[in-house]
Amino acid sequence: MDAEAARFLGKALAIGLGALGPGLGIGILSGKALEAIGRNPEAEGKIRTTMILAIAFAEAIAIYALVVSFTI
Amino acid sequence: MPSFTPEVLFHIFSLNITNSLLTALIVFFFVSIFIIITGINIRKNRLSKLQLATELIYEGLAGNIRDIIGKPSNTLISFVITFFIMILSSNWFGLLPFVPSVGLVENHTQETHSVNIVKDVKASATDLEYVESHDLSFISCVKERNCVINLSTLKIQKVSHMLHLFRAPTADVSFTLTLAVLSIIGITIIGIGTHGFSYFKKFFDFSGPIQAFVGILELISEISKIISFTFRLFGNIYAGEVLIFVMTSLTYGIATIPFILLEFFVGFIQAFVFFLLTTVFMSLAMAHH
Repeated sequence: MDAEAARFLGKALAIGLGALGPGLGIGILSGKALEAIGRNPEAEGKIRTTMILAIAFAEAIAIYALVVSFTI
Repeated sequence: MPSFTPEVLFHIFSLNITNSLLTALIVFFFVSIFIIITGINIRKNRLSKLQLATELIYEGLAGNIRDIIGKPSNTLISFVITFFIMILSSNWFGLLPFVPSVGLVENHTQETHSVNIVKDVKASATDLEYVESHDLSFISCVKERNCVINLSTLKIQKVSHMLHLFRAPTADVSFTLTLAVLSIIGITIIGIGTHGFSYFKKFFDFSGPIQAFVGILELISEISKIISFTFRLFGNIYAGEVLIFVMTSLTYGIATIPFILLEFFVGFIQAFVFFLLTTVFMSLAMAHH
């Protein structure tokens, strides 16, 4: 395997593995938020805001992986 | 593909004026004009739609701040809301249709050398003349008219390269790093304002080995705050630019519009996250420890 091939593999692995965790996290977050809305429909607005904020945090980790994969 | 780093438009002495700096100045200019006009209208006691819009933004955000910090000062509110408005307008300015398309097309020539080695040819007089006149080659003749010609030809290609005039300021690491550092400085000032210089006891506490170690951890977390602030904002906006570029080139522009709408949403969310995190860290700095 030459250096160029290793570089491409590194790029793909960085974003691929980096997207795995945040994907799971966002799924769990939205699932829990939906459960909460189902239990307490009046609080939908507040739950949605908090959920979007938390999703943004989880997404940021995927974005770090993306930045790394671009700089490799 | 949008470049990872901003392009340099021109130099003022040794200062590089990049396209993101130019766009940031334009955004500053428009936001200032908007605020100044609103301020003049308020001073004249004239109820205008501008005032209504500004108050809507201000009250909505100030309500969020009041939820986190009980009684914030006006300086704190304006400091944090300035972050929100600057980041939001920078993010949204980058999505305007002329931003990725307006630029200066530069034609420059690219020189490529290719070496052809021709062996055992009977070089004709014209070939030799050509070779001599271009001073490009090396000929060694073994016998008379049986030559090894080392012809290195020079290919000159015209390459056009676009120098973009505009770029979303938040898609530039230096801009987001500046915002992150400013935010941390603001948080530290708020901490000093509430606790005095004993705020730094959080970082440098030598009353015991455990406290000293916790101080080091606090210091590291302060640095990691800067890094995460920087790359969260930069990465999201830059990834949005790449996403729009890829979608445009994949589907010939058909599927671009929903992604542009998505990027408007992401731009708002990121500005809000930056604003809210700064507020939360400020409330942490003000809390007793």
